Amino acid sequence: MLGKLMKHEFRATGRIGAPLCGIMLALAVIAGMVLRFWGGSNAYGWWERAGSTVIVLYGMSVFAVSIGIFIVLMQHYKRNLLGDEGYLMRTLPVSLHELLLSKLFVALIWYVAAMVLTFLSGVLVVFLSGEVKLSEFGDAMQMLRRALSETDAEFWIVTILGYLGVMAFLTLLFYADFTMTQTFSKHKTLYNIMFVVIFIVLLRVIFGLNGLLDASFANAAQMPASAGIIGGADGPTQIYVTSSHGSYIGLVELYLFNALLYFLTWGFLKYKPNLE
Amino acid sequence: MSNILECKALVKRYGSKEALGGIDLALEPGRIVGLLGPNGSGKTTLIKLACGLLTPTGGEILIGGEKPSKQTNAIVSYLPERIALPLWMTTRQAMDFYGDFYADFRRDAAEEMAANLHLERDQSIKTMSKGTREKLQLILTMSRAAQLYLLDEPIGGVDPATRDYILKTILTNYSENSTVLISTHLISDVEHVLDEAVFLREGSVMLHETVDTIREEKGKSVDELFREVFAC
Repeated sequence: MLGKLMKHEFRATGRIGAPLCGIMLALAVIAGMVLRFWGGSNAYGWWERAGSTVIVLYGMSVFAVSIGIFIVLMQHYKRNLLGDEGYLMRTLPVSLHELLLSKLFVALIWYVAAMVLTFLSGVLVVFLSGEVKLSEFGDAMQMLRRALSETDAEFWIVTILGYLGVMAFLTLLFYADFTMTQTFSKHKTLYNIMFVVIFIVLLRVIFGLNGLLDASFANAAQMPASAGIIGGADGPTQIYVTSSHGSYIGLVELYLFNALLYFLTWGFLKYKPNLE
Repeated sequence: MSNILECKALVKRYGSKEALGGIDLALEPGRIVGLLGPNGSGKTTLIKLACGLLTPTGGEILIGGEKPSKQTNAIVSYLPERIALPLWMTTRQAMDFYGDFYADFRRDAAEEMAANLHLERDQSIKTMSKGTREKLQLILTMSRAAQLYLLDEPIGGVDPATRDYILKTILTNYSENSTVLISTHLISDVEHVLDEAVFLREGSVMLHETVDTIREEKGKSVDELFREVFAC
């Protein structure tokens, strides 16, 4: 049943997510072509305005894919489990775990797909703009492949687990937030904000992330190539940046906190099933 | 004969408000039962408890001898009082969805009913009128070969001609061993299909009798008795 639930999740979220990605790739192609012809022609006036507009639109589409897909997923969760659709979804012959996990897995697949497609769109822009020749592009790919093969496998495992852990954290944070807020009939916006703040404070205080992670940041600082992949220097998002002992502890803590958020969401859905 | 639905001292409170106050009720297989009562009498609460959409404050509710769970959801076909189908789906996609999750979904029956009610297979639910959406939801619900149908206000939002078709659909699409629980205000419309009537008032069962008994012993139709009992 999990597979069937995921299939319908993709159908529901893909209606908006897929066109967003498609538009971004199309704009990348157009932006690349515009850069190629505009760059060499010293054109002004209409062509210049159209060119700069396409490039700005491409930039906006990258932003829309990153933020838009997250918003689509969160809205879908609310409507599908807490809104009217919940009368259908929550009376299916499937467990609540299957319902929640299907949403979480599909969300993670979307995040990874969006990241890969955004990277590809950037490659398209650079390649089509003519700034990089095909042979140079091939050299760059070979260098990248060599760099990847020489990088410690442990580093990649920690990086991938860290990325997935952070994205799962962001997703589960809002799942728990929306679900708990649903049990209140008034001041929902206030509770929404309050629960997010509480969860973030809990993440930092209960699991002592400040202290433990500072140690891993110190290690990370010795590996500049792997640092700063996701966020700033003082957030839980940094815990994966190095395969040090500290980052393993941070990963475990993050996944434990994710489990806490997951079971909070599950518990509220099961024992306080308050549909709109 | 074992009961398909059983409530034992079932209590449901919303905060300090008591929606159901210790209900005892048992429904046997093969019956069409009207769940009747004024607004706020606890009809929808009882149905939601049977579907597992609410949890009891006290007592218990059993479907085929089990507490509501994914196993009982497989034998219960539920029609909510509101449109629960995702609006982006088309008629065909909604049938695919039911076919994927319910082993007892009869696609051919759903297609036939949809054709009879002139529902277009590729029309999205979003573009349908409220009445058409209700028809589609009812078609999907009644196209399952379930053991228990829980219909919450199935004829409230449709015209009289469609109402007749829906009642005919209910009668022709449930098997002899299935039980249909219909919650409605429109008693005169459903009375002729009912085997039993349950009157709910302020969260308590006032009456649970067969329709024949009501007619023979009280000398009244269910509608007349309802108007007398719940007269304002």
